[in-house]
Parts: sequence; structure tokens; C-alpha cells
Amino acid sequence: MFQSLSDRLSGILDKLTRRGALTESDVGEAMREVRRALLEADVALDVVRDFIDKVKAKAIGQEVLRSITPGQMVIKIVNDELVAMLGSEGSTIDLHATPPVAIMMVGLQGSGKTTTTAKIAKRLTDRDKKKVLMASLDVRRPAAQEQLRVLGEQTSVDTLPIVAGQTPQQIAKRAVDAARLGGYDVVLLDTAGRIHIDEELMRESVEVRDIARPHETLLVADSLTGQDAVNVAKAFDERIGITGIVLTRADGDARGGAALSMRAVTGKPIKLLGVGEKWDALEDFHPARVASRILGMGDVVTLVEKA
Amino acid sequence: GKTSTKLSDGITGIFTKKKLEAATLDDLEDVLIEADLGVDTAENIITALRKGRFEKDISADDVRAVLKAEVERALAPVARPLVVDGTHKPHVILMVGVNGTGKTTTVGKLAAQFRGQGKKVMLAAADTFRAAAIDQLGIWGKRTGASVVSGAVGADAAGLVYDALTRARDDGADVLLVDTAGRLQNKEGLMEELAKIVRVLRKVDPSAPHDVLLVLDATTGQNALSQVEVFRQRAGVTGLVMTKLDGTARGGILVAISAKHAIPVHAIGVGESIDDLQPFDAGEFAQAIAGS
Ligand SMILES: Nc1nc2c(ncn2[C@@H]2O[C@H](COP(=O)(O)OP(=O)(O)OP(=O)(O)O)[C@@H](O)[C@H]2O)c(=O)[nH]1
Ligand SMILES: Nc1nc2c(ncn2[C@@H]2O[C@H](COP(=O)(O)OP(=O)(O)OP(=O)(O)O)[C@@H](O)[C@H]2O)c(=O)[nH]1
Ligand SMILES: [Mg+2]
Ligand SMILES: [Mg+2]
Repeated sequence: MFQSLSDRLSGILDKLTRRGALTESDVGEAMREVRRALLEADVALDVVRDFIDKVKAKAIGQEVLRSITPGQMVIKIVNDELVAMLGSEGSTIDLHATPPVAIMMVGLQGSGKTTTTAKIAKRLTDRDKKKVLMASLDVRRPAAQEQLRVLGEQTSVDTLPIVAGQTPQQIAKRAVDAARLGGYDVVLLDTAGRIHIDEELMRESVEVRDIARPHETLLVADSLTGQDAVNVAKAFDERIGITGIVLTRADGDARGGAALSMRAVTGKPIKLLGVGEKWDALEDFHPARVASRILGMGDVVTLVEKA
Repeated sequence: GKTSTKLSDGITGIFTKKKLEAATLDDLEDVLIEADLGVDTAENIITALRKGRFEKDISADDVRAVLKAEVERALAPVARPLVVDGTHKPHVILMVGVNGTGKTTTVGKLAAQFRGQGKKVMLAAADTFRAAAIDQLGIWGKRTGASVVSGAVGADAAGLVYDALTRARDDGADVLLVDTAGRLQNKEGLMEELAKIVRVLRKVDPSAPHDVLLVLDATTGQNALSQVEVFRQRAGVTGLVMTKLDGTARGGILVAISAKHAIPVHAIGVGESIDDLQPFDAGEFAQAIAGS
């Protein structure tokens, strides 16, 4: 639907036959197109501004490599900076703590917390040979606890028995106790979705956090998210304190600029990507891949890499 | 209505000067971009603003009013309530959309509204895939006093829908609300399943479905445009509902959607409770985008 950055820049920079260093005016014109491409990819406006400033500073005066066009040179610089801002590879779930290690899942309604809880539990069970317990603290959404119970059955991961009438705080305590007594390595706490400006529900999350003392608190966010990504990520991080981000629905065709926005505004790593509805649809985060997707291309980056 | 502290702060900051200058217009464009209108739509609105008021003396309030009016102008033609007038028995409403947008909840809220009007309502649990989706709809059925037709987990959704419409007709239901599984619009197999559901409904009643509502999440960015495009093509979407407007997301993509598709917007979701569904009001929506 949207033009790739290489298409946009081709009209501006590729017609320059001159080689040598990139000038301020070359770069300035190109940055207008970069800005537009990033906004169409849903990168938050403030983050786009920061990004453009950084890229500008890096690009002006850069020598254009012999084998590529000035347009490709700019794309390379943009891409490299994007990868750098998206963060390092291989930052995954950290289990270095005294078991049972608690992992708390938080996020807006419908972002994919319950599904992701089951996916992570399954991965830790199969790949890391951990004994995992899952507990649903969602007493609000109809059949939410039942949903996690069914997922536990499907993935053969234990779930905390459902006790009607308990508060999320009580369930958290019961989950941690059960995990300790049962000799579990990891206890995953799935919480109800909440809007970040809902003070009452945010306070509930803080209380759950203080009871369970999670080693990881993962913000589960939809990769289709638009400009609001910064508000959401900032609020959850400031209020509850997150240790990482999981981006769901990366199997959709959105450019996924929310990844950059959330990473930039919290400084917290993106740890995993959800790429489908089934419990095995979970992938490690690769900044280079996500960067080329935000820019709406992949081939040019590969081309530049080879140059 | 909803307020937008951030946006109105932004505008107050911008209009310390009295003139609508180029720099000011750029800032206004930013306000629109931050509300998810998208670059093209934001530029179009600013161009319209520029024609009307550029270089005239204008106060911050005036500018806000002009901006609001411009956004409202784009949205007013699509603000249309959902009408179930008894022509069809049952009136079949098919709910579609990507995962987690609020389809099932909106089915529940609509059921409550129709029940409140004294209508006989039936719900079809055509999400046979997601864990506990059937239980979730069952609870909404209990809450609203609507009967629920459901099948086995993993059963063919189109088959279930066939049974549900047949039963709704036999039972003399006024409205049949069909809750479908969430699906991303780039999943060909799942979109084909949806097209099949529509074909099966037509087999029972050639005039059905009478409404196909696409449920959009207000936090979604530019991808909502492609959701409308593809769901319209494959499922014949006739109207939109936008959920989760109780947060800080403004849902400005609706402006771009309405410019491109002119598709009716029936209602907005402003919470998780049964009565958190409101008619779509172009003026209020525009006000929230422009800041009040
Ligand atoms: N395509 C796709 N769908 C996903 C992914 N992750 C979750 N989903 C779907 O998104 C919908 C919502 O997922 P849930 O796990 O119920 O979301 P949640 O955050 O627990 O929702 P609440 O508890 O209501 O806040 C379901 O239809 C899931 O199947 C993903 O990575 N890709
Ligand atoms: N804050 C808020 N939450 C909402 C609104 N509408 C729905 N939700 C919540 O969003 C989450 C997902 O809603 P569902 O109705 O299950 O969404 P769905 O589209 O049926 O999801 P799938 O069937 O998994 O695709 C639930 O936690 C709902 O309570 C709304 O208007 N505001
Ligand atoms: Mg959940
Ligand atoms: Mg549903």
C-alpha cells in the first residue's frame, strides 16, 4: 500500500551522478521522505524527530561508497541507525533468579497476553526444560481464566486451579505459593487487559507486582499499534516497571513502527515476537528484520550490505 | 465526552501567536498525525485550513474550532446509526475483524441494546477456534438474555452459521448476531473462510447478512486502512465500529478511512461493560481530535 523508502528516495538522490560526500541539502531533502516513510509505518512523531536528527548528523559529510548510489547510501545509514535504535539481538527472557521465577504479563485489552503466556510457557517447558506453572489473574474478561486453562491443556503446561471469587492479588499469592511448594522453576502470571490511564486497574497491577515480585515484567503490545504506542509503553513502564516487550501479530502486514516507538520511549528491549495464534508461533526478535520491514524493503539493504 | 489533554495542551502552546502562520500549520499537522490520521490525510486537512484562514488574525480557540470543523466535515457523512427495522426476520449482523479488536464484546453490547428494545436476539458462536471463545460468548448470552447457538470446538464455522440462521428463523428471532474468530486480513485461508460464511448465510436467506460490521481497535495505526479494504472485498463490510476509545488513542485513522471508503461508522466502544457502546458522533469525535 505504501511506497518503499527506496522508491521514494530514487527520485531525489539517485539522479545525483556526482559522487563524494553527502551534502546538507542532499540529506535534508532525503530526510523529508524518510520522515514520511516512518510515519506511514506508525513510528511515533517524537521518535521520528529524534531519529531524523541522529541520521542527519551521521549522514552529512559521509563518503558515498563507490559501488552504490547516494540514495542507497542514505538508506544504509538510515537502516543502520534504525537497527541500532531497535536494540541488540538475543535479549531474551532472563531466568537467572531463585526459583520459582515469576514472570508477569501486562498490557492493553486484547493485545495477546493470554496467548503469549501459553506460548512462553510452552517454549520454556520444551526448549529450556523448565517446570512451568501458569495462572490467570483475569477476573474481569468473561471466560478469561477458562481460556488459559484450555491453553494449558493444549500445551500440557500446568495451570493454577481456578477458585471463584478471588481477587487478582489473592490469586497472585496463591500462584507464587503453589509454585514454591510444587517445585516449579517458573510461574507465569497472566493479567487482565487494562487501559494505561485506568488508575484503579494500574494500582491493582502494582499490588500484584509487589506480591509476586516478578523477575520479568513483559509488556505485550500489538504490532499494529499506531501513535498511541508511546503513551502505552511509557505509562506501563513508569507505573509498573517493565523489563521487556513482546510484540504480537507480527504475522500481520503492518510495518510495525510501534516497535521503534516503544523501544525508544522505554529503553527496554523487545524480547519476542508473536507471529500467529498457535502456541508455537513465537520468534526471537531480530532488529535487522524489523528495521527493513519498517522501511518497507529488504532487498536494498541486502544489496547495500553486499556492496 | 472524551477529552484530550495532550492535544489541547499542544494547541494552546502553539497559538500564543495570533496568526495562523506556516510554522503553526506545521504544528497543527503534527497534532493530527499524533491522532493517527496519517500523513496524507493530515496534509489534506491542513491544506483546507490554509485556504480558509491563512494570514488572518485568529485566536487559539478559533483555530481549534476550525480544525474541529474540518475534521467533522470529513466524518459527518459517515456517522450513521445501525438500523434494525424489522424488515428482515431475523436481521443478520455479521461481526468481523482482526484478532482482539473487541468483536465478541461488541456482540454482547449490541445484544443488550436490542434486548432493551424488546427484541428477540440470538447469538451464533462462530469462533470455534480460540480457546474459550464459545464460553466467552455464552457469558454474554446470559448477561443479555440472548440465546446462544454454539457447536463443538474446532467445528466448521460456516456449518455452525448455517445451523444458527436456520434456527433463528424457525424460532422467530428478530436479530441474529454472528461472532466470528479474529483474523488478520493478510491470511488468505482465514479470509476465504469468512467469504464462505457469507455465502452460507445467503444460501439460507439471499438477503443476508444485512449488516457486516468491521470492528476496528482505536489503538491501531495506518494498518486499519488495509483492514477496511480487504474485509470489505472479502466479506462485504457495510459498517464500522471503533472500540477502545476510552484510552488515549484518538482513532484518527477513521478520517482517512472515511475519505477513502465513505463507509458508515455506527458506534464506538468506550469500555468493557455492557453499556459502554455509544452511537458515533462526528462532532464529539472531531472535538477529541482537535482538543477541547
Ligand atoms: N495473528 C495473531 N494473533 C494473535 C497473536 N497473539 C495473540 N493473537 C490473537 O489475538 C487475540 C487476543 O489474544 P489474547 O491472548 O486473548 O489477548 P489478551 O491480551 O489476553 O486479551 P485480554 O485478556 O482480553 O486483554 C486472540 O484471537 C489471539 O488468538 C499473534 O501473534 N498473531
Ligand atoms: N477498554 C476497552 N476494552 C474493550 C473494548 N471493547 C472490548 N474491549 C476488551 O478488549 C478485549 C478483547 O475483546 P474481545 O471482544 O474478546 O475481542 P475479539 O475481537 O472478540 O477477540 P478475538 O475473538 O480473540 O479476535 C477484552 O478484554 C475486552 O473486554 C472497549 O471499547 N474498551
Ligand atoms: Mg487475556
Ligand atoms: Mg472474539
